[in-house]
This record gives sequence, structure tokens and C-alpha cells, in this order.
Amino acid sequence: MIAEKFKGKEFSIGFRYALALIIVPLASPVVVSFIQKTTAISTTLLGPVSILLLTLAYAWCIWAIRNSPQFGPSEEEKTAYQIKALNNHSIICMTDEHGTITYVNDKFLKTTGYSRDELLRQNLTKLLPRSIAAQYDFARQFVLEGNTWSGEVRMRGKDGTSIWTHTTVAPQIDKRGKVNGTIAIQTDTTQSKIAASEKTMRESLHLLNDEVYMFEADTLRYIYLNQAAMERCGWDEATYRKKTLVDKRRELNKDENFESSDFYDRARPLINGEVQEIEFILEDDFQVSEVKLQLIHPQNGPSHFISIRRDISERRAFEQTKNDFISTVSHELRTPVTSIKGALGLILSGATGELNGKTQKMLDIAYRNSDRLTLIINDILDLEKIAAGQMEFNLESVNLTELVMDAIAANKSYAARLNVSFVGVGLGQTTVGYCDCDRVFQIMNNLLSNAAKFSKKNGEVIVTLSNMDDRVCISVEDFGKGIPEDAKSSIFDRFTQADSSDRREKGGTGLGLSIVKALVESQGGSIYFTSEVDKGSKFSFELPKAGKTTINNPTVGLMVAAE
Amino acid sequence: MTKLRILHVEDDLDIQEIAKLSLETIGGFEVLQCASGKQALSEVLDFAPDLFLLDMMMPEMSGDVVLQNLRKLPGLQDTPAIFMTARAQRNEIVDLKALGAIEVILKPFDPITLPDQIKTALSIS
Repeated sequence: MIAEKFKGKEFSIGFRYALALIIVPLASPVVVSFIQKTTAISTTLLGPVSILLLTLAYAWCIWAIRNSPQFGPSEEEKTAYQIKALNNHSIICMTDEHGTITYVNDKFLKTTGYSRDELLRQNLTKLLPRSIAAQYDFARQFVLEGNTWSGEVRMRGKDGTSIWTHTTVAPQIDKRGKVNGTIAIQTDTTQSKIAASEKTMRESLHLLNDEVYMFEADTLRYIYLNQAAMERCGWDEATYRKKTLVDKRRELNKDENFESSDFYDRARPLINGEVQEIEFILEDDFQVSEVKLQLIHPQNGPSHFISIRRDISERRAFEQTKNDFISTVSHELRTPVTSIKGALGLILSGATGELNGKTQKMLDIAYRNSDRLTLIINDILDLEKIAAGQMEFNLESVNLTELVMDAIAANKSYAARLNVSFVGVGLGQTTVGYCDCDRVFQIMNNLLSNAAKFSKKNGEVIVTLSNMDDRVCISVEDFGKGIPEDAKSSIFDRFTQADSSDRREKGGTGLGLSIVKALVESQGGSIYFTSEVDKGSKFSFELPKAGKTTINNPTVGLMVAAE
Repeated sequence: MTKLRILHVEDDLDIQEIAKLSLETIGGFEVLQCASGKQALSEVLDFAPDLFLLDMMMPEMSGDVVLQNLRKLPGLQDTPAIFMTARAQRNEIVDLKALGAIEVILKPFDPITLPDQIKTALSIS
């Protein structure tokens, strides 16, 4: 009975020593008398022999105890230690075979931000981003078949943040050897993942010519400068980590009165979330830079600003040169033409006296050609301006009906000389468009004079204004020569006219349609035509209505001033 | 009726000749012509003009600066001014008018209609 009680129980070390201490002395008289009876040892030797036996017995006991497998912590104790260690280091979660959470350890709760109540009896998919649903299903099946799965899993915390983990999932096996659930052991690798991707990013940033500065939002202390930025400031990493934006402006930009409030004022729209990015130009004695500023709120870590600075001094200088060129050429070409035209005009008006027929004829020719020269100069400068992005368009609501009627009136006399008349269609009601009034007038002049020029004698030119949902359309149709097939594709190119003999006969610079196209497209519109030889041509252009104008013509590049 | 007196400042001598013919013969104005702002400032007070007609692009002193300086002289603060220029986008014209001109005439100008343009500008202002 007593034996059964002690059977299977773990005996502690102390208990075993105590046992030995008691049993051995108790057993010794028995042993001694046994030896006395069976051997012929004399009484005098019995004392020392007994002591020897006692000592040996003790020694054996101690040796046996120390070498027993239970020396050290007990099984219970060991398991307890292991569980404690696991709980402290790893994130643990157990589910049943359907994926319903049956247990989560404290670290799981701490990492994900949920409470135990929120998780127990929920399905594990609640914590996983939808994108890895397939991965999860596969892993779960795999484990339920008795296998252990291991991999990188991204979980979603309660606040939506991503938590990267290295995960091992093992099957839970019940007493009968059947798999009835899973146990997942995870290690949070978010920090090292972030560190790795940051490292890659920083290496890339070092390659840029632009200067990149990152500094904390609260303190304006620098957390990162790329190679270019470090060179500009003359700081190494150890130095810049101790500096703030204020230090930089005071020390390096010689802006002694710079305060952090100066920066925060400028960055206010970013801080308020009104804009994603602020762009501004910084000019100092040596260069002109374009600076882009953003405010980043990372999931793990404090908010910080990123500032990227690009040296645009060269670009500016080039633009300046172009500007100067256009205005210089403009002036230089127009000045002599002014004199030529002016002088001839005065003579032809009779202000210098009477002229004989031949003189008159010659002077007429000279005057007409100086006129053409003016037109060509204007056209070229217009095209250069558009190409340089320097043409400004004043977009506004324009009464197109009136504009078309004015254009017709302006070209009437020219057309009359060719025995051509204009017919207006759709001019009965007021149609309003959103465009640059002067430029559209210029477009109309060009199209109307072209149509008149190429019409047959006594011909008609039909001018139509139509109103569509989101745009207006103006077309100019003549019934004259038409454009041959092989000339159609280059009709909007510079210096082409369908038939070069036309140029001499009918005048014109050959630049008209290319300017018209540029002007139309700059205002967000489009231009197209149909034509048949000896039947006529119809040129149409469309302009968007108010609010729908996009001035982003990549081939032309424009500045737009909206009124 | 007394003739309108115009101070014309223009560095290009050919244009001066043409303008002179236009303004005197066709327009019937009385004209003092100067080839630079400096010359104009030294001669203007004796001439007592009713209008300044100023070229914009001049080497030493541009038209707007000439106007500024003219206006500092006694009796000339309110004299109307017209600029002549080859550069003229709409916004540039607005800018020029803001400098104190009642009108901007573009180059190349038509000498036949120049006098009428001036008269129109004066009557509007």
C-alpha cells in the first residue's frame, strides 16, 4: 500500500538525501550483526569494519542520487520554464480544425493590440489581410493533414498596421492521434523587415544627384541625409544626426534669424493635410533650386519631413537665354520692317507728292511684300513662343457667336475681292465657349482667309458654329480646290502648302495651319479636316467648355493664365 | 486751334523720320523728337508738350524709366503718355498701361493711321 503511494512520484533531492541519512544508520546494526555471525572477524576489528561499511554505504547513496536522471529540475519544473520562455519570446495562437481561435498568449495580444475577448471564438482570418487568404487556406490544410508549415506571414493588427512574422504552424494532436487543431508560433520580424527595406531605399537615395533631407517633424532634427546632401552641408553622418534644420539654415545658409516657426509656417498646408507636397524655389547667391517637401507618417516611428532639392540653375539660365532671344529677335526684326513699311506707306499715301504709274506699281509691290514680311515674322515668333512655353493664354468665357460674326466681318472685304461670300450657320443663338478670345480670333482669321483663297470664283464658304455637350465646334467649309491625298498628312506641318505655286499666287506664309493647330491644342481643343480634290475642304476645330479645359499638351508645354 | 504738341522719344533715326512725316504732315501736330531719354529730359521743359510718345526699347534708358523721370519735372506729372513697342502680348500691354500710359501702340506702326490712333487715345482718356 505504502509502496503504491510512493510509486511514480517524483522524489525531490532533499527527500532522497533524508531517506539515505535515516536508512543507512538503521540498517548498519543489522549488517554488523550479520557479518559477526557469518564471519570470524574478531570483536576488535568489528568497530573499524562497521565504520568502513557505513562510509561506503553513504558514498554509494550519494553517488546514486547524483547520477540519477532526475538530478536538476523536475519534469514539471522544466516544462514550466519552457512555457514561460516561449510565452515571453514568441507569439502563440491555437485554433481548432475550423480555424477558430481557441487560445492566444499574452504576447499575441500585446503585438496585435486586441484583447482576449475580441479574439477567442473568432476565425483567424480576421487577423490576416485578404490578399493572403489563399496562402492561409493552403497552410491550414497542410497542417491539418499532420504536417508542420513554416513561412513569413503578414498579420493585421487591430489598428490596421501590418505585422510581419516568421511563423511555424504545427498540428495539435489529440489523445487518439487525430489532428484537431493547429498551434502557431510566431516571431515578430516587422522591425528587421522595415530596417531591410529602409536600408535598400537609402542606398538608392545616395545615388541621386538631388539632395535628400529627412528630419523629424517635432524636433526638426535630421535623421537622414543622402550623399549629395552631406556633401553640400559638409557633414558626415555622425555630425548631421546632431543637427536640426534650424542649425543648417543658420550655419550654412547664413540665415541668422531663422527660427523653427519660419519653417512650420511654410509647411503648414502639409501639416494640416491640405496638400501632399509643397514645391518652392530657393534662390541664393550661387544657385537656384527647386525644393519639394513632403510629410510622412510611417506606421512604426515618428513623423518626419522629406525635402528634395534639385539644382535648376542651368535650366533657369537656359530659359532666360531663350526668353531674351525671343524678345531680342522680336525687336531686331520688327524695327527695320517698321521703317520699310512706314516709309512706303507714306509715299503711297501721297504724303510725299504725286507718283507716276510705274513708280506706284513698284512701290505697291514693295509695300505688299514688307507686309508679308511682317506676317512671317509674327508667325515665326508665335511658333517659337508656343514651343518655348512662353505663350500665355487668357482663358475666359467667350461669346463665340459674336466672335465668329466679328471674324466673318473682318474677312469680308478680303473675300469680296475674290468674289467669295461667307454664310453663317448656327449663329442664331448665343454659344459660349471657354478659350482665349484673341487666339480664337486669330484661328478664325486664318481658316476664313484660307477658305476664301482656295474657293472658286463666286463661291461660298460656310461657317458653322455648333454646341455639343461638353464642347463647341466651329467649322469652315469651302467648295474649292480641295487638298490632294498625298498632301493631307502634312497639312499642319510648317512651311508646306498643298501646291507650292499657291504660295506665290495666293500669298500666305505656309505657317498658318501649324500655328492654328498649336493654338487650338494649347487651349485643350482638337482640329481636323476632310477634303476632296475639286470638291472642297472642311476644317473643324473643337474647344472644351468651361471647367473642362486641360492645358497639358506634352508636345508643346505651355503656361496658362486663367483670368 | 493750337496744334497738339508731342514729345517723341525714339532712338532709331529712320523711324523718327517716318513718324515725323506722319505726325506733322498727316496729323498736323507739332513734334519735338529726341533720340534718347537724356536728350528728352534736357529739352522737354522748353517744349512744354501735351503728350509723350515714347519708344520702349532704348539702349540707355528704357521708355518707362524715361516716363518716370519726365514726370518728376515741374508741370509734367499729369502729361499723358503713349508707349510704342514691338513686344505685345496682352499681359504685357496691361503691364505697360500700369506703368502710366494711356495707350500702347504696336510696332510696326502704320504711319497713316498713327495720328488717328493718338487722337482716339487722347479723347478716351
